[in-house]
Amino acid sequence: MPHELALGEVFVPPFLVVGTLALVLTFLTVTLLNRYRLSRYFVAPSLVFVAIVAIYTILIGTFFIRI
Amino acid sequence: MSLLASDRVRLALIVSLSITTSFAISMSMGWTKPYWAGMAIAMCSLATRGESVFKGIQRLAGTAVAVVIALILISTLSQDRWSYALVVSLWLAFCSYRMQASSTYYFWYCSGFIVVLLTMMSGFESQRSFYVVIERAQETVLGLLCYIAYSTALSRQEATHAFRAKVQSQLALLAGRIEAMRSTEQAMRDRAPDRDSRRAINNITLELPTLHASAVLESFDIRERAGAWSQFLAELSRLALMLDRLDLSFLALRSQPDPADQKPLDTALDIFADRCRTIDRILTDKVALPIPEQLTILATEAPADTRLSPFVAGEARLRRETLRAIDHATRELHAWALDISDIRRHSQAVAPLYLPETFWPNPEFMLRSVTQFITFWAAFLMFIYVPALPDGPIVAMLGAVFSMNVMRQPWMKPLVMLVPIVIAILFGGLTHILIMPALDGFAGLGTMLFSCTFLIAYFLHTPQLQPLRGIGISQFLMALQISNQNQAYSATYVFNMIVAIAMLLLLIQFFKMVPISWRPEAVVQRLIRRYADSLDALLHGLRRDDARFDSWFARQRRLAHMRQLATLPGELANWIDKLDTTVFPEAEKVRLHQLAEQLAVLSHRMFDLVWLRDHKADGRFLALLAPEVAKWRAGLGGLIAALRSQDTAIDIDDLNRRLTQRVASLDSLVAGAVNGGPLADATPHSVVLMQEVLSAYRGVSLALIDTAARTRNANWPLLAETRF
Repeated sequence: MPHELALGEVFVPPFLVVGTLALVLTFLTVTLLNRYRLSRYFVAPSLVFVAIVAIYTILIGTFFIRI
Repeated sequence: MSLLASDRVRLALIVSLSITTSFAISMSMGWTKPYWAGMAIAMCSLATRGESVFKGIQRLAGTAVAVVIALILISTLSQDRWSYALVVSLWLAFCSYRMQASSTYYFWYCSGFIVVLLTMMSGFESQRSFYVVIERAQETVLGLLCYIAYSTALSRQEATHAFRAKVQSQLALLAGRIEAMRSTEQAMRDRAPDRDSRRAINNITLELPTLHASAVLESFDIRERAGAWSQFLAELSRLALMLDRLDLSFLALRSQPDPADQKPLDTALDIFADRCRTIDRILTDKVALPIPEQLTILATEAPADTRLSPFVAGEARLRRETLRAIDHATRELHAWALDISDIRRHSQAVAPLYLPETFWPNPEFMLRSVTQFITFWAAFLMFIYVPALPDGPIVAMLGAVFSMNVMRQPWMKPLVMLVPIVIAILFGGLTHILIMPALDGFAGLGTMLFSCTFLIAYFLHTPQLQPLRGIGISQFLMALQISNQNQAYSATYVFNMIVAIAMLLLLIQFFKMVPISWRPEAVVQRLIRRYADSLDALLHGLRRDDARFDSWFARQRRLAHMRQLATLPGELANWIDKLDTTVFPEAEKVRLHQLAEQLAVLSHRMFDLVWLRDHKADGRFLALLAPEVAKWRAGLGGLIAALRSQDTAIDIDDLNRRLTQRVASLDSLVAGAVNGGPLADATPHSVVLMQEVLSAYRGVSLALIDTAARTRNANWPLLAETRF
């Protein structure tokens, strides 16, 4: 059943909020991974980046804001 | 009126007034998408009037080409989406390639993305597409006309002044560079050329053609002598190149001129610096000064001296050739300056290019096109196969726009663009929801449009912020959703657009790493490998005993490799600047920059060798030297392999020792042959050619050994480490 988040009188798609949060968290995560030189253990960092976005999206969408 | 004294306010006024006027006209005409005119203004508003008009003309011409292609595509492939996607993606890749290789990049950009925009917006319906195409063309023309009208009335920034100022500063920089060569020559030559000055000269060389084209549109004076200006700019570029060649030849200590050549060289440098200042005076004050004669020290050719070491004699001759080219370029510049100032007409055939054109494509530009092609396909497939995607056609359209933009500057981080785009869309969305419903008539709407666009243009006023200003205003106008028919108010479009753009940028981020990585570290390594490959191929093609290396195709390949050698050091320097400073400290970057400079030295040395190949050599000299030169070439091949694999375990002292031994053995071999030996009757021409070839081989060897030494200094493990 499609549903939307109501911010005041504006209906916002939940996927937008979840996606934004996931992106922000991913940026934070990869910055930390780069900072502590842990990213050298990944063969394809871009693939890992997209995977982390997907993981965060699913986690937030499952436990916090239902997509 | 004191407010108008500021160029910042004037620019903001021009942009906001022209957007408001274009909206007023298009809405009164009943056109459905008034923001198209506003977007044309946002993207074409540059620092000077001439530059804006030049960009506007490119947008119009690009739109015209795109309109024709879109109509053909709709009439032939509208029923077959895969054929359509294939043709469009190939066309976009071609336009992307041309964007890199041409000074009219914006024409190719518009020719590419507008095809996708028109075909998608018309929904592949022939009748509808006609109206969409016509409307797009009308709105683009309207926006540009409004902008030109207001900027003519209000702008004080003229491209003509900017162009003349750039020419003057280029002449001053070149004179300064000559003086720097002269002063360091008296002290010591073991120094790196001034990196900032080199970069400033190269940047101005790249900027001048566009500024010239802009000034031609703006000023009758420049337009009247456009041909002379073009010749002047070509000679100026040649002079910059030759000075670079001369300056870099001093980079290595071992490349100092013979003491006998010192004084003529000093005299020549003094005269060249004076000539640069004189040319500036002619252009500025229109002073009628006579064209200088060719330098007497360069006019006569010294006889071939067989007593000297062939390496020393050859080196002196090669440097003399460069000085002669500088002498010619400065005299030509003087003559063209007199022509431009209407003092004395000059006619001269266009001088041949330093490196002739070749049909062979630039591999780096090809890679950019391939990445753009893949990214567009990914966006298109997402549009087809993800039905839940909000505003799918927008993803495909923006996929073309963003992928072309990002691949023009592949060091850009796509996700960093997300922040200004989202801010602009949210600003537009909030205005749309909160302010627009309260407005009554165009008086209110116009005031709102004027205020908001004025604010954006005012805060983002510098030329460096122009791309951001363009993106900001165009996204703001899109998010406003001003319509001429049944105006509705909804935030859905705004949120959908944010989701679509975020997903798209994520996609681009991904395809910037797979299958070709555009991380600066990866590109630096790739460029060095490609440099080594081109060097190896050129060296291999120097063989004179195989007819295959004399074919037309082989010459084209050689030219392509030479172009690589000429451009890669500069490209490498650009990418080194893009390395993350937190990971690569300044000292690390300086070491890499030194390597790039050394590669530029090596390129000039290699060109000496390749050009000499085209001269017909005495067969007896070839027979005498062939075995030694073949061994030498094999040794150089080994060094190039070390450069390609970034091998840091090279024994530089051993290499130097081996080179000295080989030079000494060739010295005695040649001396024995020409002084009373089998080649005593050799013609002076063949002796000179032999000296130049041997000297060029030695020059390449020295430069390669220095390159190997620089390679050892770089931190390759740090470059090879994977990072996000």
